[in-house]
Amino acid sequence: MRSDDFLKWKKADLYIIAALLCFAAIAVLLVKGHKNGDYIIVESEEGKQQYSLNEDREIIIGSAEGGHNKIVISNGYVHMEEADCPNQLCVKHKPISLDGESIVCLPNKVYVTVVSKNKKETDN
Amino acid sequence: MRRFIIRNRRAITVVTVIFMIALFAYLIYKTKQLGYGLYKNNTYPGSAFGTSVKTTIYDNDINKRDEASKLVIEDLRGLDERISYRVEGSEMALLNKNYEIDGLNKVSPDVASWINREIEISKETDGAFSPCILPLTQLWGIEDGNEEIPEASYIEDALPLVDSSGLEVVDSSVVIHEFGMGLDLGAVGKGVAADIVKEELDKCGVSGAVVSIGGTVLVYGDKGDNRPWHIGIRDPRGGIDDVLGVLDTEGNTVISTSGDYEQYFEKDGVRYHHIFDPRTGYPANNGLISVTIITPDGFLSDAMSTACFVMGLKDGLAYAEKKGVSAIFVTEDKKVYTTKDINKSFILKAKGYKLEK
Repeated sequence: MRSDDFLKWKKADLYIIAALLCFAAIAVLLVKGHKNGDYIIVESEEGKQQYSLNEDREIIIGSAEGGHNKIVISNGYVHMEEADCPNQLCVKHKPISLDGESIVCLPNKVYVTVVSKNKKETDN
Repeated sequence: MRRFIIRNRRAITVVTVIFMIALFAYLIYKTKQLGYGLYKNNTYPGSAFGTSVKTTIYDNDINKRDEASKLVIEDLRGLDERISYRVEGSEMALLNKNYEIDGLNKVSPDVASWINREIEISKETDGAFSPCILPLTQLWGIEDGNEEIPEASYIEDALPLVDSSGLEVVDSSVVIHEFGMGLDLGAVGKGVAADIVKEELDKCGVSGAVVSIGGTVLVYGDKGDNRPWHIGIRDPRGGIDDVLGVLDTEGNTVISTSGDYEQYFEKDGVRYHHIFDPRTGYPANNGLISVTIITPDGFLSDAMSTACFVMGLKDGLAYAEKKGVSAIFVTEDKKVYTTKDINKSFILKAKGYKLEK
């Protein structure tokens, strides 16, 4: 084969590798901080508190009139484990983890909202 | 090794290009999922009208976001206190308690105009919608947890009272001709709320917002990524977080859904829900399980979702087309019908349903 053909191929080869590395770097940067900053806001008659979604924990809310809710954070998801409300809608709600998702216990006035970099498919 | 690369350089180039395309596609997906390009936004929970209210404000100014969300909830609570017949001392409660038969019962001008519009819709739908359904609502008591079917004779007695011909609006007064009639803005309350919230958002000057009041959603402005709003319509036979499909729509508009799953009891395999047919006195039973109306006029959106549910698929769809609103009807045999204008913007997601073209 001719020597200048050989050289041309080598340069293109390097450009491709450089482009690949750039893309890989951008991809890593985009994905990197993705779960770290996620947290939930719990609002109730006891006040407003934030909890990281990265630490598993149980949060118990008890109101003066006896309303009781147990919120559980597990594996980056949050759900209502227990509640003493009559309709149990909050307990039936599937675990949430995406930005703006919420679980509400209306009778006990407990609101759990997620703040996350990951958006959900719908805006409502 | 060198020889291998040189020999197969074309194949390697092809593989590399495919890999780069895949990576690029992944980056686009990730960018969308992480919401790049969106204005900064916060989601605020709350409650009003006895239901959960969720407000998301899109605006890069945090003060505007916080301020707007506070004003929205204040407006909703204020409206609730004015028009909910359940709130002692509200305009509607006082009207129902103190009205003089055949006399001019004064109310505030906007309440008068809402009642008047309800009467218009009642006439346009030949009574499928009633501005004075309260006697039936209270007889069935479903909202209060009652699970008994009322005596047929009591239902018969209530029918003349829910007929809008016994009602008139004269300037800022309501004239009531039958003793025992009761007025209820419940069927339009959330729509009115959406209209009021829209005006508040105009005043606040925020870039965009989504406000959900129970089954009524207001989308306002835009979210910064040049894409339409994606609104989830609830699966009538799923949980509160199960989606029937996603509707793409531009702001500002109000999406109201009425369904047989909101409040009901079941007896002997029959579902008794809270959307009564004023002409029969029984929950509307004509094959529909949910109706969604989409239009910028919040009042109309809310009123028509109830009216069209009672009217049934054929008459309801015709009425929607006549009024120039967009609509989604879901039947009990899991078929989904829409007005022509949104057939392509609604994407079905739930299993078991079929979108009719």
